[in-house]
Amino acid sequence: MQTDTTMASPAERSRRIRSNRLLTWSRRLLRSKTGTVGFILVLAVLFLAAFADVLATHNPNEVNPALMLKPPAWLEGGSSQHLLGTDHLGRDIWSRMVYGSRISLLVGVTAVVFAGLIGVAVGIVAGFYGGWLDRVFMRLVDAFLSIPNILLALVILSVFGPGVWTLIFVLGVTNWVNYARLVRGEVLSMKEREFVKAARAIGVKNRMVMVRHLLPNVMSPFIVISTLSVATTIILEASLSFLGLGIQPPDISWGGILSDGRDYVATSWWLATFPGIAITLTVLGIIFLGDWLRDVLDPRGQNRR
Amino acid sequence: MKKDTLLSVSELKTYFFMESGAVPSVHGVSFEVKQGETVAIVGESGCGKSVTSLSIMGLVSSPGKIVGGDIRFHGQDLTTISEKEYRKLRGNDLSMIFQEPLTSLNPLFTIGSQLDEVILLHQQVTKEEARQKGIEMLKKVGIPRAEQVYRSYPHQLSGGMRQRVMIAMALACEPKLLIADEPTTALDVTIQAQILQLMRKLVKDNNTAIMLITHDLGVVAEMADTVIVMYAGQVVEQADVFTLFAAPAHPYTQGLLASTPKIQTIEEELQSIEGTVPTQETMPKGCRFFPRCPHASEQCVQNQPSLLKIGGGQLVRCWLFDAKEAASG
Repeated sequence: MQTDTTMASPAERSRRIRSNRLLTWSRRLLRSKTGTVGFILVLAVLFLAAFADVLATHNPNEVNPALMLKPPAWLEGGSSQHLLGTDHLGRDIWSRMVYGSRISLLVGVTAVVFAGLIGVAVGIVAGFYGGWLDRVFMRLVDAFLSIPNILLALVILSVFGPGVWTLIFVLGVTNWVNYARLVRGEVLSMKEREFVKAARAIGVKNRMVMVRHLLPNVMSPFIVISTLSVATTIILEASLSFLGLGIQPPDISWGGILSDGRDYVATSWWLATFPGIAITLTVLGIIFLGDWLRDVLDPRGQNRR
Repeated sequence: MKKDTLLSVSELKTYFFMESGAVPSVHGVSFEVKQGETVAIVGESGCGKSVTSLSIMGLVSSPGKIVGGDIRFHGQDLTTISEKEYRKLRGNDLSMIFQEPLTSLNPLFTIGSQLDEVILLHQQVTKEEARQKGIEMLKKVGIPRAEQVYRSYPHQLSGGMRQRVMIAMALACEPKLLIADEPTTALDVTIQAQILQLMRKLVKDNNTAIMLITHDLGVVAEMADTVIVMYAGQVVEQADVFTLFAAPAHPYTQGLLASTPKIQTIEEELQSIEGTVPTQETMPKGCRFFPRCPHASEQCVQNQPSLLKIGGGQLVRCWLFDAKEAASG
């Protein structure tokens, strides 16, 4: 890992370090099978989302009553025109899924980041300062936990009206409590560790103690929970779409396609199956990648992996 | 030659406010540390040594609070200054080494970045200068391959190495007072000796005063100029190191010395002090040590003795001496 960098000029040295780093990271990624699989899956979904315009074969919202419920291309009655078949309105499922990846990813990831930001901030502050601040925040968390997520989401969505950003807001608001509790717990045990005391003993400001010494140390459980959370968020988005309060047409999400297909599961399984598989693979990919990230971000694990 | 007083603690009271009531962890402690002097504070676990040192650093955290007395450092009363002013002192003029070198370093950052943190915090230097200084400090504390260690993570170093790093961090800004809270307790004996030697050398070079918190009398004998014996939140005896070992006055000090193994008297059974440090509920009304004291009398049960001068700069909190003095005087 360490090459002779002592003689090189600073610019040369930093260039070498950078290319070295890329190499080390890719080597580390390849060493973990699940990490590689996760990386490929996530990359694939990102690719779909980025090149939806090119990859889609049809206009995803184009209704064609003549081609209702066509099976996938490789089945009897399918046509090469519609690779994954068509839905009850004759829309091309492949194209809908390709476009749907955009919103599903956007909602899943943004909502988790949003919830994570609130939750981590609240958790660190509550855990670090303790006292009344902690009590107020934690009672707030309890209050949130006592309301069923879906009910809270329904109330907010019916007040503000459905839409992508409202949905992200709702999912964030219902989820932050999990992070807050987790992070607070970690901080409580972490702040008794001597390096936190030592940091204060060398005159580090409270704010810096939180940002520099506590935050990085709570990141690994956070990454694990948040990757799992992207999964549940995508699914929660699907259930809200199913209830008619999620993504509204003409916007498309995987959850929306899935719930559209619900009525036809018995006769035309492909309507619900393909978005279901897409959600599963994406979630799996994110979890694998998250797991690997947690391992490599912890310097203690570097020699093992 | 009379040295200048660096730190003077007087009537310090630090209480912990628990649900069951206030617990006086430090109860009226007074002492002085002169420039370049090493003062050892000894006593059993739970007698207020660590809380005293945290009080001086201003790091007593809730539910603990300093409720009385003052701490003068360079004539400035630390109990009244703002948090911002305190932060400027910490790590700069006032430094502290903790007991557990294994957990005193943030596991997620390299030694170098943690060393730089303290230097950049208190000195107007560039990152490169901080790096130079950091490596120089590592060399000073006797770490071989300093450049490599500078880039290492804490888990890659042994306990002794980590404690050296902690010392390097503590001394990076040339503090006037170094508080070492059981700096060698977690280390094995050979490393202990090396660390003590190192501390002694660095202190001599920079004329740094040390406040050494320990329960290891061997360490005290090796390092200290003055020894303060604490019991149940109070100072029970204070003397220079030679007097203390030669003529311990307080029964508690005698007990501590008797419970230390001595190589000359190997056949003798090791003494221990019966009982434990009293808790808040069992705190005696009179002398705090009387339930465990072999010389306890009625007077000890009823009234608390005060800290008496018994000559040669030795101070003791015991009725035995009061009685003697009364008899001779």
